[in-house]
Amino acid sequence: MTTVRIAHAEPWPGKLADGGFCTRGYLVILADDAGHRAVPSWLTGAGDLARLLERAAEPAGQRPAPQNLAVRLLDAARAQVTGVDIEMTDAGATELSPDVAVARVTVAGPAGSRPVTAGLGLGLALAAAAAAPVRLDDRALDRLAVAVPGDDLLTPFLDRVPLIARAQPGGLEAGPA
Amino acid sequence: MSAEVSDGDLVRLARGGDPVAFRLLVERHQPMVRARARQVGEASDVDDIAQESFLQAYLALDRLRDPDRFAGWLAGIVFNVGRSLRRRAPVTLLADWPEPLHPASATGLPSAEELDRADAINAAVSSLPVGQRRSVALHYYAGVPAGQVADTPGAARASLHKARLRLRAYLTEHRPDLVPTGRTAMTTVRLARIARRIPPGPVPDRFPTHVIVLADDARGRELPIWLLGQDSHRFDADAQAEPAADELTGRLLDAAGARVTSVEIGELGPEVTVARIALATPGGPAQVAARLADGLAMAIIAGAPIRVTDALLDRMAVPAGTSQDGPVPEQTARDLRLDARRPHQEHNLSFAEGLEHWMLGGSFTEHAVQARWRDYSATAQQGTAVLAAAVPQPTGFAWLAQEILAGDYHGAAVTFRGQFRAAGATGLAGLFVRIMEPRDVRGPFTAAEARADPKNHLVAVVSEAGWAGYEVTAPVPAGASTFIFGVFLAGPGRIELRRAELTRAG
Repeated sequence: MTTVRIAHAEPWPGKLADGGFCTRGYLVILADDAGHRAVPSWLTGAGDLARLLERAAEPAGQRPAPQNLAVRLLDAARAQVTGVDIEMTDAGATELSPDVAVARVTVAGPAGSRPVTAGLGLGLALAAAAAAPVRLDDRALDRLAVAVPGDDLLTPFLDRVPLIARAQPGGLEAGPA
Repeated sequence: MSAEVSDGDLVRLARGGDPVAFRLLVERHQPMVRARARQVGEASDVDDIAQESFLQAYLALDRLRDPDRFAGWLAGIVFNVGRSLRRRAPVTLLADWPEPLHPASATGLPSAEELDRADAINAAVSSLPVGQRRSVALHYYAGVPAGQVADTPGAARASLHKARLRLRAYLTEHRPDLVPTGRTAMTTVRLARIARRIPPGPVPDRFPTHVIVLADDARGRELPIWLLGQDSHRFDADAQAEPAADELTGRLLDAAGARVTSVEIGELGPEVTVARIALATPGGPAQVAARLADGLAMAIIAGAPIRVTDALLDRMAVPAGTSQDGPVPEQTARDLRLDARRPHQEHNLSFAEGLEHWMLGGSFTEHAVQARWRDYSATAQQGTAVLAAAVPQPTGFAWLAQEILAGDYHGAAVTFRGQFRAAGATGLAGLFVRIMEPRDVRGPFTAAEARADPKNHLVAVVSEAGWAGYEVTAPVPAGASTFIFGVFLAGPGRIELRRAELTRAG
């Protein structure tokens, strides 16, 4: 298993020509910094993740306290998320998506350590909120990762708009209000 | 009050059982004690040294020979405490007693009622064993943190807990009228329905809106709670492409051996609602204060009872069956169209078509209580638009504005100008341009946030100055998706607009 870093979570597919965007989809970039490569994933349920990453970029003094409800409730129960492992459900998949992978969230507390299965987006969001490591199987990483030579891990993937975004106009919101 | 009474007199009063006197001594000598504490201890120990010093002083107050030399005597205590306190275990804070035990002392003289209450409570405190009496006095009278009123946090917790029980027993027997209720009176409500519909009022965003209706069947009333924006999606099963975050939270709690036992809805302060989520955990009961939508979601997921403070119900509940009444303004219906697209250019700046193309919105429409949505109103006639407060003290702020696509203005600036007149605007009134980026799904919630938000370009209009020309200019960066322009009002009064223009510059 390799620990990857959640580098970006951008509204997917980003800006449209008319200023609208899809509010429920996100382009999430998982970085394998040591390998100079990244795994893109277009998924839903990552709104919290995007907000968390946005806040992480703010100056420390202006950063609000973590508001993730699950993390706060677990903390009250003296439990915590100790890790999120991405588990492929389709061994031959060449693109990371909620259709081919799930997140196995490990919760440790007084009652012991137990796994909980979550959707990929929610699992990653939880990992970010709990500052828990995200791990990916090495073979899956080799198959899914794209080499990114520079520091900009986002731009190489911004033009890749999956067809499904165009095929389901009902998933697009009216605009940024 | 404290400036007129000497240290000696305060010491004598404190010895006589005056609960306020020692607190005044603490307030008066706090700077000196902290300064001394810094001299004799590490910076991180200053708080501990100061608090322990006051504790020691209170305990030994009867042994002070000359009350007028309290300051010097206290300084000696600080020195001794500084030498010994570093060996103490770390401390933790305990929850406060739900009501203050001492009468108000910050301003003016206490009333007869307060003195009567103080006398009764003094008698109750005097009935406590020495250790508990000391804990209560230090924590509630002298302001020493709860975890520091004994040698260890555990001992402090136990001492205060026992003291509270004894105090309650004493007061219940002798003065039941003074017994703190402990818990706020609450009513268990039933989740009557969740409905998705257009609310009867202005809404600033275009997302589906839901109302959650909590029913108090015993009294034939119900509390409608509106969830707007992103919170609205939370209860929209159709919008979930994968198991909802709330359902995951429930399973995570289950994995941790915990469960939600109840959710209490109350207020942290005026107009600030809070949901207190009660948990049963392997380590005992716990409670988490959360946003209203969070609390409701957890109650629904866990099937836990929902309780609402009676004060909130009394003020906000409506007769059962009436919470869905009310007209649906044409403008609101138009604004909520999901297929609406922002126009490329401004419309109806002359108000010849009334308020067509203009939106009424603002933080007041974010309030969870429907009644607040009518705090501001907008009208237009004879070429003039009016944005006005509809109640004496409206909540939040309001704007009357248009939003258009920014593409034609990228790299340039936009200027919004016109003639404006404000009256009775004791808060803030003016004109604005707000630059929007694709991620902007919610604006600021308070007038202060709005003023500080760099996306907002505001110009204030002087109240009572009559009609005058104003303009506001804002650069439109390439990343802007839309911009909003119009007038705003925060607080009472009104602002009027006529002869509006929007121009591109640069």
